[in-house]
Amino acid sequence: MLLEWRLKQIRFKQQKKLNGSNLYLYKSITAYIQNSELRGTEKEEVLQQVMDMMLQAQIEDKPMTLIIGNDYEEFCKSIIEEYSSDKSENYRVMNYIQKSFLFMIILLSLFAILRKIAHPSINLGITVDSLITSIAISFIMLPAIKKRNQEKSSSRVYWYQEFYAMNIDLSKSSVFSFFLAICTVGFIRLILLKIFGAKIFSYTITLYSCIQDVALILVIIVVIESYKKMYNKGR
Amino acid sequence: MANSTQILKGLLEGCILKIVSSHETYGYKICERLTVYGFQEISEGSVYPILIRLEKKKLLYSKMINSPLGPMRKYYYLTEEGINELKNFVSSWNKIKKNIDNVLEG
Repeated sequence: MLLEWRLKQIRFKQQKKLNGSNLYLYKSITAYIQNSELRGTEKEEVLQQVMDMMLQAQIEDKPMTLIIGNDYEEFCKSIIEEYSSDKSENYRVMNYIQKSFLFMIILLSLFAILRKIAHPSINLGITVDSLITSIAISFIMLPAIKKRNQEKSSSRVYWYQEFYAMNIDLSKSSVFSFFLAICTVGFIRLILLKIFGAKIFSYTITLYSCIQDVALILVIIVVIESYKKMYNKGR
Repeated sequence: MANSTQILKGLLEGCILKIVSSHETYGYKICERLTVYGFQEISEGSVYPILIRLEKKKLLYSKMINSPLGPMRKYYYLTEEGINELKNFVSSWNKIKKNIDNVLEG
């Protein structure tokens, strides 16, 4: 964690030495790698090495193709493949579950805090509606957004261009995931509506009533983290 | 000729092991050496992924040291397994080279 933070600091400071076109290329590589499944330290190691090689090529006035090749996406893909080649399907599934749970907890906390701010008199908690939305965002939309960011890593210049690209140029996988997320929300809502009626959506789940579930999710996150650490140690 | 590219990329692993065996070195220098030896086209973009692969296979190990340019730089060294792999590569290559020479000479 400390090494990752240190490498990140160096990266932010040193990347300013790259000239305009090289910095653009480096940022495209960074966006691609950052949105991959690699671990934090792996990402920082890669970005650090790529920057070192690019800086030296820049100083010696050598073409960047010497290091990156003609297609930076192919370059990034081959790096990710090398790192992922020894990661089992179990590892990937566990990683997906852990990240989704973690994001869901963060999202639910945010919903609960905003709700408390809006209505200070009520207990800290969330509605069933926000729970369904959080599940759909964390388990379906977030992985799709990461994939989309990889695909569009070279076109990320300004936020409004990003927003524009997001709305006019969604990839097939992103459209499918977005559609799947909406279907999931709709399907869960329909089942709940049939069983419990419309009132269920405004039903509040208080933090006190679900503390055991929250604790269980946190334990799952910690257990998966330990599994990942042991897995990577054995490699 | 897609297959020949794959064969050449396989041979690059052996060449990189040989370059690293000579003295401690790092990614950019390895790219540069390969270019000098005439591997420019084939090595473009593939050296760093191969270094990751060789490190994963425990044929290389690395140390991260501050580079004069600012970022942390990985210096690569051969492991015991890497030394053995290099010996195997050299002996396999000599055999293949001899066989191909025989075929070409008729």
